[in-house]
Amino acid sequence: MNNLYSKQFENQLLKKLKDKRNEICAIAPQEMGFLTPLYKRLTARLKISPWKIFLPFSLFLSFLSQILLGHWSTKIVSVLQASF
Amino acid sequence: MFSTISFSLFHGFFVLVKDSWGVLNAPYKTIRKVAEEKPILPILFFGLFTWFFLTLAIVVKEGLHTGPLFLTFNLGKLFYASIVTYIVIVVAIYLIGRLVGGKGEISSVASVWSYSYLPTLIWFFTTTLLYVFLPPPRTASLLGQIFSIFFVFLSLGLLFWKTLIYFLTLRLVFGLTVWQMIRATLILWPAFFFYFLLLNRMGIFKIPLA
Repeated sequence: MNNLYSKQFENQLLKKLKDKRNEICAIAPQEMGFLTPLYKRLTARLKISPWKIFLPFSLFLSFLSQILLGHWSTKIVSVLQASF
Repeated sequence: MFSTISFSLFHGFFVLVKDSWGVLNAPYKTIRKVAEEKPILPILFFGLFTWFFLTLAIVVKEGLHTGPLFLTFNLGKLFYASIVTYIVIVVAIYLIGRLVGGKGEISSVASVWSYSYLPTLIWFFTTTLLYVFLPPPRTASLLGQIFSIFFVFLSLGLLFWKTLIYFLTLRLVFGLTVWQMIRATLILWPAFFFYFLLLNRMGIFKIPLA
């Protein structure tokens, strides 16, 4: 009885390990030469809560566009608002 | 039978909400799951949301006093154009993804790409509401500039989200490397640009609902 229980447990564990291995190996890892570490750091931040990067970056770009474009920025916004 | 259908729809809607939250907070894991499971219900739900948005947009733009036939014709034209645009984009991504060396199924592309309508619909709904409460044009006053900053901030945030979903589609559906994704993008984006320009020239969409 104990042998049967441990055999079932081993089979379930083996199946979970195989599923995990297939999940990891399904897509080949990205290789970008000397850029690979930088790529891995960037994508790691984008995999979980990417909005933590998107929102500050969007805010920075919106201020920058207002400074660089000036009144053209408000004209572009007017066009976008009327274009839905 | 009706209780089974309604339960399936309710369950499908619950999964849609859960996966939509996942696309925001854990996009890699969620899109990978959607690419494997290939659900159909999100496609139908997003189609329904698109129809609802287009109805709202037409009523806001044309007004309720306009003839119902005119409103119906406009809604039909825009809705069919939205469906055709969705099909064109899904087929294009599938063909180019396979062309550059990826392995994936069109059903995965269709399921995953439907979730890219989240940022699209959020932007269009927000713009419609802002059109009602703060109609254009904007001025160069301080309030106008503050609003411009906010609007550009919102638009860019949603655009980055959409772009992330696009690249995750290529990566997780087709298993493409970065260089393959770049090659696919260099083919797809100009093609999409000319397609949207065509829709604009035909007077269907000013900004593509894609």
